Amino acid sequence: MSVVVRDGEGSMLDPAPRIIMSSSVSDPRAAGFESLFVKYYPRVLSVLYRLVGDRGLAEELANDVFWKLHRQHWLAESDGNVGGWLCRTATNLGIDHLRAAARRRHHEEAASRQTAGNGVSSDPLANVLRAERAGRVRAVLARLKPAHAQILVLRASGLSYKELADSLGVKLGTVGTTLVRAEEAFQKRFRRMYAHEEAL
Amino acid sequence: MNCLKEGILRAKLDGQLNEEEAAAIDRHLAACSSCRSKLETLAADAERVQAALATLAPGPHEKTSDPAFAYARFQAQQPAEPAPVTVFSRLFAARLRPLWAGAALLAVLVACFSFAPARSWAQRVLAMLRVQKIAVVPVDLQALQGTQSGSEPGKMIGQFISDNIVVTMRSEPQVVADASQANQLVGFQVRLLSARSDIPKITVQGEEGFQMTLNLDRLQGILDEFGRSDLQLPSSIDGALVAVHIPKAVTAVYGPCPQPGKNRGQKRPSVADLTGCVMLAEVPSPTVSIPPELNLQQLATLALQAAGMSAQDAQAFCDTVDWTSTLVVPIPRDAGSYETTMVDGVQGTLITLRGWAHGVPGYSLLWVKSGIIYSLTGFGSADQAVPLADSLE
Repeated sequence: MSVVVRDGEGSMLDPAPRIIMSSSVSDPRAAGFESLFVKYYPRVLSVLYRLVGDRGLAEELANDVFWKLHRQHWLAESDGNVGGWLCRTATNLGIDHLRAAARRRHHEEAASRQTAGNGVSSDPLANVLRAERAGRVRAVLARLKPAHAQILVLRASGLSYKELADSLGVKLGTVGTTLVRAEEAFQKRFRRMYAHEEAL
Repeated sequence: MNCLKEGILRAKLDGQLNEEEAAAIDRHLAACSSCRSKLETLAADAERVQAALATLAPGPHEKTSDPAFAYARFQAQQPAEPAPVTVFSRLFAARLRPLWAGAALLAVLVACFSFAPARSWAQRVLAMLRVQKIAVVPVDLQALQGTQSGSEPGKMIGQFISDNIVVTMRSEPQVVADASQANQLVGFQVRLLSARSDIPKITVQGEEGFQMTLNLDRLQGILDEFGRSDLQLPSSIDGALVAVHIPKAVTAVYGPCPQPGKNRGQKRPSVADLTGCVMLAEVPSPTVSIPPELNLQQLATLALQAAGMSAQDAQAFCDTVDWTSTLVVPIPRDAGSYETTMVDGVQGTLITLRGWAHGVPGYSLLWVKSGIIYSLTGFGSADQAVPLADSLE
């Protein structure tokens, strides 16, 4: 059993089954990679932190994102949209993690513990409440369509509409509509899950 | 001016319009109470959601990471042998053709590819699958229109593959002078068409290995995006590892064949231009390794339903196929036809396509003999396929 993939000019029925792939960059210190890393790391980390709520884990995942970039050097050579690719890959990884955590059903409790330590207030009660709410927001994101969760998190991370269009690979003119749909889906899901406990 | 769309109003709220656009919107709003009310609702919704998402932001006491420090740590953690990752995504993003979009979807869902971290790999006893025969299944491309490159499902499939496939083995193709040189490289008896007097271009295609870990959420998400939430993937596929190994293959190209990737910008070739082009491929069966608990028949039934088949038809087809030994080739229902035929002393499948590469009609004859998969592909009348194939020696 096999599936044959050729480039777009051919057909899967062509002879010569051939898997087309990149060669890897053997040295991450290659020119340009470090500057890409330094430029985009803060944003990638910020997106991942929002999704997973744990700094150590977010750093691990951010490293994974850059390893993926490092292995796909064609990205840097081809379309120049490395920032968009990084944001998309980071949110994909973060959402995968979030969904896996949600499935384990420990997520809200775990997220509460994780975020409570990073409180924004000196009031311990306020920190606990905020952490609880963050856990709920992540649980809702985990259950949205990935495209909706992606746009919400990236927008909350400060991406402009142009950057969102680049990251999600959509036309600039459709970003507003997608955002509206994502917000509707978020509110609907939040209310379905938590209407009896907390207003949105 | 017609009433404003929500997307425009949302962009206005976020200050993402240029001055001219914003001024036009303001003028409309001044005169349209319906749009003003819509804007207020959107603003309230946006504020609620933004406030909720703001709870995810790092607190002010969180120390910010120094990217230079993070980079030093990143380098220190460099894996000893970073595995290369395929650029399947480039294929998908660039020019996703419906013909193999169907194959890609089937592939992802049926779990033809995949693999995983070495530690989990070693812990599993794997079922090894080998191709012994070929079956053709007609698919309905209308159901797969979403796999076009610009579409959300197309992008999701591309991203899924990009994120999950790891290449474990790869060697470069090598052009060789004749069959005996090819024999030495591939380790099986290479056969050529004695009915052709011209000398073919013979290439030994490199050995390939790749692996993928299946991710239930992502795959279910792709089905959802196709509007097929009714198809529920079994939770047993989550984390399943599938490995594919493709041995060295030989291709022999006779006559004026189109070269993939080199025909852009030129006029489309006609039947006359391609007459005489025949492409012969010979490859020992690829080996697909899957966890024994993966129910291929169940997944294949789902995949065929995703490709537009009714549940009953999919079940009926799958009942006739031994998924552990059959290479299933999906062909678009409206693009061609297929028939079984005797070839090279065994049963083969002759696929006739009304217009495949460059819109020129062609054929592809597939068969398996002594563990080697053969395919003979050409343009023009399919009548020449079997006599040509029977001339192999």
